[in-house]
Amino acid sequence: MSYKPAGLYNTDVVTKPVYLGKIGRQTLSAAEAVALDADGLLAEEALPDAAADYTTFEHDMPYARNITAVCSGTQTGDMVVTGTNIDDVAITETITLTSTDTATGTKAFRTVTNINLPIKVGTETINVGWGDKIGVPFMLSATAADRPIVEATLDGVIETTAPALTADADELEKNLIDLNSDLNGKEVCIYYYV
Amino acid sequence: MGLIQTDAYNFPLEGVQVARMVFTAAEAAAASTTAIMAARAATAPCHATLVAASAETDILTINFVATQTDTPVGKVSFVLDANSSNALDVSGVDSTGVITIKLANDTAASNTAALIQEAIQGLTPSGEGAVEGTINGIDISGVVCVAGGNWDTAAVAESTTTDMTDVQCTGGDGETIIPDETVLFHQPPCARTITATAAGTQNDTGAVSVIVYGTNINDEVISETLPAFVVNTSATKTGSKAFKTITSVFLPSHDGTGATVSLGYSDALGVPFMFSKKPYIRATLNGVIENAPTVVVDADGIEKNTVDLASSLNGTEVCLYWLLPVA
Repeated sequence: MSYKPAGLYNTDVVTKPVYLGKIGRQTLSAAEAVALDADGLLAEEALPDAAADYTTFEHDMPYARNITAVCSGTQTGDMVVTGTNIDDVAITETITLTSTDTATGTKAFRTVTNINLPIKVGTETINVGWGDKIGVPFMLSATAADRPIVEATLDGVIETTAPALTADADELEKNLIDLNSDLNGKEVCIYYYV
Repeated sequence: MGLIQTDAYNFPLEGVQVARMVFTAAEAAAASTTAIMAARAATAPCHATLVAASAETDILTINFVATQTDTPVGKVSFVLDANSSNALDVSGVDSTGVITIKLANDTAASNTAALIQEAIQGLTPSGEGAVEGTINGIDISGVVCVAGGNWDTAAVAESTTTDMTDVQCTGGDGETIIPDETVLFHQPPCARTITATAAGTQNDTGAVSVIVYGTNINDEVISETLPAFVVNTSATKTGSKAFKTITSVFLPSHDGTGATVSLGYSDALGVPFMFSKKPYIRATLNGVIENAPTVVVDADGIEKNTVDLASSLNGTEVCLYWLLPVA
């Protein structure tokens, strides 16, 4: 991201004014900040006899959030998620399944339109849902010093521990913010000091 | 100015701005339980006073538990008499509320305050539907009898100089206090929530509430009934409304005159917003950033919007910083 100062503010040193910044707020309503849901998209779905597409889901994505998947048994194939990012741009993500361990996506999907599941190994099923990571509307610099200060509140209370940022200067959907607290269906506000 | 463009063309951010509210050192004075009004003795609870024949100073005071709804005044009265036998006899008539105490006519030890208290508390008055511990709709299960003079050792008959045939209940009305020459109020240093502290004789504290009248941060007239004290417990009760000024207070009677009440203010600061939800807020105390303050919001009553710093106020400057939507 790049931005310009909003102006100057005079200091007591005539030749040393300071830059004025701006503060932007990203608000997630209580519904958008719903807790992570491991089977919010697909619940105990049997893996197919051959790789197949799924387009009907348990729920819509509540917000731009990352995708998670976990199987009931051995399965290490690739799952491909298709949808849109926070800017309504079409994106896909290939997530390699890790059997009974939760596989966590690294992109924030505002919508999911298709999930392609790999061929079954046995009789395993899969849960697909969303995690706690929230999509950020900035392509943040890989250099932490070049990023804006970010603070968050959960239900009006400032998070004592700063949220974790995942930055990517090229792909918007890979810019994520993860509050120190778990999301719990209470309003979240994220403040960017730019 | 209301929106801030992001790297997502379809997802601008809402612009917010910083607002600061400063409380001077004087305004940020430390909380105090006595700063508004020093401890003041409670007024007498609703009571009746019986006098023995032995001396006008040999008295029995029957105190009712303090209550703000059902007053025994006009509903309960007493008759003191000497029994024809040497036994204490307490009876009552439910429909009239008259309790008759007939003293053992020879042995004062049978007529002690403790024995009479026990008899009244367990009294089942006559009358259809009457129940133990209640007479004429008034709860008597908690009355407290206090002996004065030599009642416990000398009372065997009613006074011959004071009429004991119809002793009415009096008192229990509490008092409304306004600042004047005799009762000095100090106003809160800024809009603060109010505290009432019960002290003195702990067992005289009743389950009653102080009522505060005054104005809020917007100079509007407000009042608040503070949380009730816990019976027989010395403690501080804190309101939820921030008063900029106090114009009067109602101090209820307690269960006895040994209780005292003082008024002060807490650390919670009134703020000039009616928030519908908790805003982002930072605070500094004497220039040092605080951990997150406790914020109470209310969309309807400005006096119910308060901020309580994590640290105790200590008479040094406080600054509150909000991030608020750009108007």
